[in-house]
Amino acid sequence: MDLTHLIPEFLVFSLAGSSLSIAAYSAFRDKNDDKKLLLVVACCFTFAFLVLFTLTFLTLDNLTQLQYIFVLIFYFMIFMAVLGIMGFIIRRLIVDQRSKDDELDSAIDIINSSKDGLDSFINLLKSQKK
Amino acid sequence: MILVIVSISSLLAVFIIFKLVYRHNPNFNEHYGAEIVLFHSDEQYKKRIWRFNLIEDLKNQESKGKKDGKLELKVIVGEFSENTQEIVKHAANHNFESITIISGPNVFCEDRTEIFTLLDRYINVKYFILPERPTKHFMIFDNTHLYVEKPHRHTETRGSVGIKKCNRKLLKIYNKAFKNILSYSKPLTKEDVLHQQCYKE
Repeated sequence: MDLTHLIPEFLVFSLAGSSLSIAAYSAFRDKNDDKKLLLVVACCFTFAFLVLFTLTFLTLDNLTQLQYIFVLIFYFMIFMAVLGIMGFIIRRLIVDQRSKDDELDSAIDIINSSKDGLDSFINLLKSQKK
Repeated sequence: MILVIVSISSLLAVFIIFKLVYRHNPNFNEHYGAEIVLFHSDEQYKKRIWRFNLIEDLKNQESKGKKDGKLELKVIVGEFSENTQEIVKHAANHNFESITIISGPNVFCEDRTEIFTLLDRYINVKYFILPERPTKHFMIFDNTHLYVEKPHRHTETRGSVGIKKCNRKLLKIYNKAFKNILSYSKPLTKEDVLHQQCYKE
């Protein structure tokens, strides 16, 4: 079997996979590890797509110059879009990490404000007793 | 042959990804504790589950003989409300031998009979009240874990923070405050509870 026959099928599979997993990602309401897993899966799919896409480029031949230019433009656009998706995924992963750090900060704030107020409440009780 | 290698390696890769994504990775800060969880004000259910699980874990540790000494729960709340009652009941059912509750002078009227039956049924639960409603609410589980509520008025829902394996110094501050506050409070028997002042809805 020729490789060129397989490429279109693989392309469709990887594209469908990545879009499905991103759709599933946005369907989850609450923030948890499942979402992260879906992002990683989407990343795998887009990466596979990228590899296949490069492969199709390598198997190109017998084109006139004009055709060649159009094909190049097409490849450029698709590459841009797919890299954009990967960028989005990586950014999401970073944002999730950052929001976790923010959570730690606000947790520490709550503890500090509660801790600092303990003594003042004890003083209040003390003064009332007098 | 190649197919076998590919499938085995993909299986391995998936396994590694699962390990990485689902690894237990709690917030950690050495000045505060080993496992810090922030609960937002709308996560009432999560807060309850976190405390219930903690109580069960402690009981399991105790029954396996990893703990020496008895399990202890210290609670300061604004009023001994339904939520707190459930936590206390759960603890009492899970081998906690010493449970101390300090609350403000008032309760919600409909809770009085509940508290009466609770005190009647579990003799290891001690109930104290303060002349003034406390503004800082926290729970200390077995002198190792801490649960702190954000300062608030009693009508508001609020965020809170749970810390497992709390830092010793921080816990000491809370323990000292608890002892101090306890000295200003007076114990309440189950009969007194029925005549306790209450908020009218």
